[in-house]
Amino acid sequence: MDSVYLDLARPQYVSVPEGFVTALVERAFNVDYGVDHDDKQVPAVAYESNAAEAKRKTPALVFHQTRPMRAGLTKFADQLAASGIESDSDQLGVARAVAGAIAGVRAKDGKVRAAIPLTPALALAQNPRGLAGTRNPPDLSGILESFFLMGAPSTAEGDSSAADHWVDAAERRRAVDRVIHAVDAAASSTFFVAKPTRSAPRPLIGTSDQFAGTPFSWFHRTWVKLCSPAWVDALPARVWVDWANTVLRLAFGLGYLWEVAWHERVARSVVGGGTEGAAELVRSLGPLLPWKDQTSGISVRDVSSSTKWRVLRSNSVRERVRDWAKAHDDLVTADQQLATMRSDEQFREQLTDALSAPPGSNENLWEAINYALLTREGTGPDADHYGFLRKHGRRFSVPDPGVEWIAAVASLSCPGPGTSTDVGQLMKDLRELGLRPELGDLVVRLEQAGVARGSADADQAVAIQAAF
Amino acid sequence: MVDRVGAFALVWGKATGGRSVAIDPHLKDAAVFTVAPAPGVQEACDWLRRGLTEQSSQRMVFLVGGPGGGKSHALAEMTADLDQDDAEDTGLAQRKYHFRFGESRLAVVNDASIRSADDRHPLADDVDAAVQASDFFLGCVNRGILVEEAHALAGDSAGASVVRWLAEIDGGPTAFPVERTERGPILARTALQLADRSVEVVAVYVDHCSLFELRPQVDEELRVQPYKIKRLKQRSATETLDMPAGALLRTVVGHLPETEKPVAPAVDPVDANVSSLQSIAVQRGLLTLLRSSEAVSGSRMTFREVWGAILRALAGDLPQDTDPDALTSIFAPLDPDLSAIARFKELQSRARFRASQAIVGAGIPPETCAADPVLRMTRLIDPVLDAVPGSLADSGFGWASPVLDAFSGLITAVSPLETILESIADDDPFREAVTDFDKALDAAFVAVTQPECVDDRARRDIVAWYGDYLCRLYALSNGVSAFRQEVSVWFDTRSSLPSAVKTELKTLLRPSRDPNDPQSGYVLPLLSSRTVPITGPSAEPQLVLQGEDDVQLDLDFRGDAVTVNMRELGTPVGEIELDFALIRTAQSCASQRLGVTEQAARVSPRVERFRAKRLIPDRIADSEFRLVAGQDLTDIYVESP
Repeated sequence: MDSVYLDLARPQYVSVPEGFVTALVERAFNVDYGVDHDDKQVPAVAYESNAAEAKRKTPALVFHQTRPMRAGLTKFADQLAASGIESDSDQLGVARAVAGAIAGVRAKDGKVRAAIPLTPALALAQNPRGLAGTRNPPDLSGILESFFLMGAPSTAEGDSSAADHWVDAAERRRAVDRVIHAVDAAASSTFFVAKPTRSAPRPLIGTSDQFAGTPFSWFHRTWVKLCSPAWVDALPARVWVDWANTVLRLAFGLGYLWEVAWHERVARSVVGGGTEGAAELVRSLGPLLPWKDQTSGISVRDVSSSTKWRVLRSNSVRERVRDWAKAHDDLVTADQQLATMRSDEQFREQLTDALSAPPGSNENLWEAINYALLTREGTGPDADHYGFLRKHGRRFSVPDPGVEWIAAVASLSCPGPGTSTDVGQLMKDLRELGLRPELGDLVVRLEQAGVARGSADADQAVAIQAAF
Repeated sequence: MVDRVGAFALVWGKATGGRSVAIDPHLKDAAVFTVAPAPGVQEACDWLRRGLTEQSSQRMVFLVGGPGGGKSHALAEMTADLDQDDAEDTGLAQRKYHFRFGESRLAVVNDASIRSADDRHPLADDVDAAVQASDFFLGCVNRGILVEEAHALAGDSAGASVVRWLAEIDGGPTAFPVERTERGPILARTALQLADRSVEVVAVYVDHCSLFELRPQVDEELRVQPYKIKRLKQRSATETLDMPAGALLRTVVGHLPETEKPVAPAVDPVDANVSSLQSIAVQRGLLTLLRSSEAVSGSRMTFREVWGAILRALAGDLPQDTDPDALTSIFAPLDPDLSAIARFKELQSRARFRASQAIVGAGIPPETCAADPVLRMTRLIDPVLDAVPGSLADSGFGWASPVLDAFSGLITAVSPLETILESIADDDPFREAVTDFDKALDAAFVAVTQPECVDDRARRDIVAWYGDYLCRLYALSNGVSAFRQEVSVWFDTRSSLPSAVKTELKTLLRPSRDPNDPQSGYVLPLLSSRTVPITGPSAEPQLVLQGEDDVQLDLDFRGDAVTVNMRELGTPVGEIELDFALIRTAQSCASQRLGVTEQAARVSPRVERFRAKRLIPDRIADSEFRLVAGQDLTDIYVESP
């Protein structure tokens, strides 16, 4: 490891789950929405906006919706027919049906709605500026690619980036699914001035094995697996997108929690006079979110207060580690840094203060983590079935993954679609994510999700069958 | 006459949570109850023993399964007359023992889960040691240990090959290959090839078959007959001795009647239980009830739970918090001067130990039941959950009329128990279940429900409780569980798919767009987050896939588990496990309309995924698409790219 300081961009919460894929894909394409704007302005694009957002104008942003309406709907209908989806009696009805079907979840009190990123054209039916409503949203794509690179083993040097994996998978989807193919073609012709062109691939450079056993390595392995032809061919289009969002949400939320835990672990080791090297510190990180049995009381299962406190406090530790690392840029490995930090009495005092300081202001990081993991809408047509945390009242959030979350994560622990694994392997994968559920509780959840059947005390050998 | 407390003491600790649920080769006292191990266990041990005595080539047997499967009992039985080589009785179960027979030596791993924290693959090491010493080998191991060890194995050795073979994990090229593998669900065998010889290895999966089914026959050559599941209606004529659990029940019950009588047998529920369970018909009823609980809970009882259930049927939860000595004093004679209400209350309190009440946890809080290994299964089939009117003699699934009718007249006029006995057939097993305790309780009921004893509200409570009591007793003696119809279908579908069930499954899995018109087609929205078929007018226009009307269902069997496969025009379009929850939900569908039951949370995700599988690229390649708007369904043409 080059440095104990993880130089990761500061995140903001992502308002809709589709925003993750959109951000990732945006950098892989050059796209022109045909929106008039002056030199100081940039387009902020959403698939659908509420009335106030649609009319909003700022000196820096031009707001634009891609959902076809009125004349646009007629054009979309024509393009669908030209692309191969045709009705003899109600072509406008077909356009309305497709436009409705590709609209993503409506966040509670949300101003915008994204298109479901089933294809590149639909992923680009909005951009991060449009979803965030600001000119300079955090570089979500850069963040996800950083996490992907951190998790990539050294053997993956030169392999595709996360975005390129997704684009290849989407291309395959278009090739094997004639409906998706036609919808993508019609959307391309309707939403943009010209069909978006693919940017040059950005292969992974600088891979290493230093983050093995962390959420980053889980992210890399699982994303590559999900984007493989086998899984693309095995999953219905919508399920594949939902699983992709789930992987990205987990990687994002737990990746940042890992960053918080890492800097804290480094600080405690330095303050406590530890002798561990960086690799040993990576291995010694405890669970990122305590996951208690469902039969425990809500207050026992609650993770929000302890995690929020930890996240809010983390900024001061992180900043001290950052400043120290900057001042000692002659040290070229994390192990050298650790050794020098431990002999720096003044720095140890600073870290001691930071570790015991009251929580600072780090709301953005907390919101980014919390909203990535939280189940958005529990019920109704916009229900989120892929959340990990569930709110109980205003105070508590508990690990209570939706059945589809369990089905997706457990299935992606299997070697491939139609295959099986055991709970031991799943628990190993979850440990990588920083989650350590109790065996009995996990088996009950797997049974509820219909992907496992517990046998008499098979312990970790309980078989899990991939959901698809 | 045998001492009653002593007789109970021998089995008392076998209750769930009891002190002697596990056994090691030193504990011989319970060997008398090792009457019918799981199929293959006895035969594999005999095969191993023959090799030992005949000094054949080296043999190894692994008994694979979770705790309570009877592995250690079988091991104790097998080694009972062998000389222990390294005898050291610590009073605790140890991991490994050695026994000698003539020139041959037997290594026994009694419990592979006993191991030090830093040894990550001790079983493979044990096998290596046995191979090196040419010891015969008998090991008890659960799948969790196997998987854990198989994943932890780094190198190549004979032990590693055997552990990987047992865990069914491919370890790649090895210098110690296994050959001639024959793998069945009950028994698997292979030959471990060493440089100079081969070692015969047998694994017996002790928990493949329910202990409440007839044991499949296994011959001397370890060839296994198929596992067959009896239909519910066949169970009233099944020989219980041929079931492992039935043989155990009969042995335990047969061990108790010759004891001295308690001080007040007429008001002693434990004595009443012993008396009821002397009847083979009542034993059969209890076994059917327990097997039904396996069907409903989707899990399997090991010998540990069977022991727990037997002890519960004999003495309720007494063994969990008292010593058998308590039997001498806990059920004292009733004071003849007690008031009618006090007498009834005392008998009502004792009735919770009665087999029919105790076996389903009557009166026990749900959270306590959920934590009890037996009650978490049996409470699900408490007959009073679903007391369907009708008679067992009829062709339907009703059964409770004899009890319900007994309470339909003027309550205070006659004894409900006598009314039931007058109305049922001469050969109804209920007659054999009824004891002096029940007659005393019945008399107390008649006395307490007289107008001068209690007010109307108290009488209603008493009548409700006693009605439930008689329902449970009647149901237990006849092997009737709650949800009898669905349970019966569960048993039927373990061997074939009745046409009525087929129709219901089709409705559940592929409901018609218009329930009034079965020909209206099955339409699935193409891009929705939940794959919920459209079963009525659609407010918004939707792009849908239309499934073929012509679908076929067939079944795959794996022990108790059954999978339904669906094909459209011969092409597979989905598969789903046909468990009790799915059967109950399917049975609630009627006239092409979807039904909802308390099982919805368990069934919905699986059914939805089943439907979603229709939308995978391969399966939609040749499908037809439609536009649904309101009630209208119009064709859509989708070109191939």
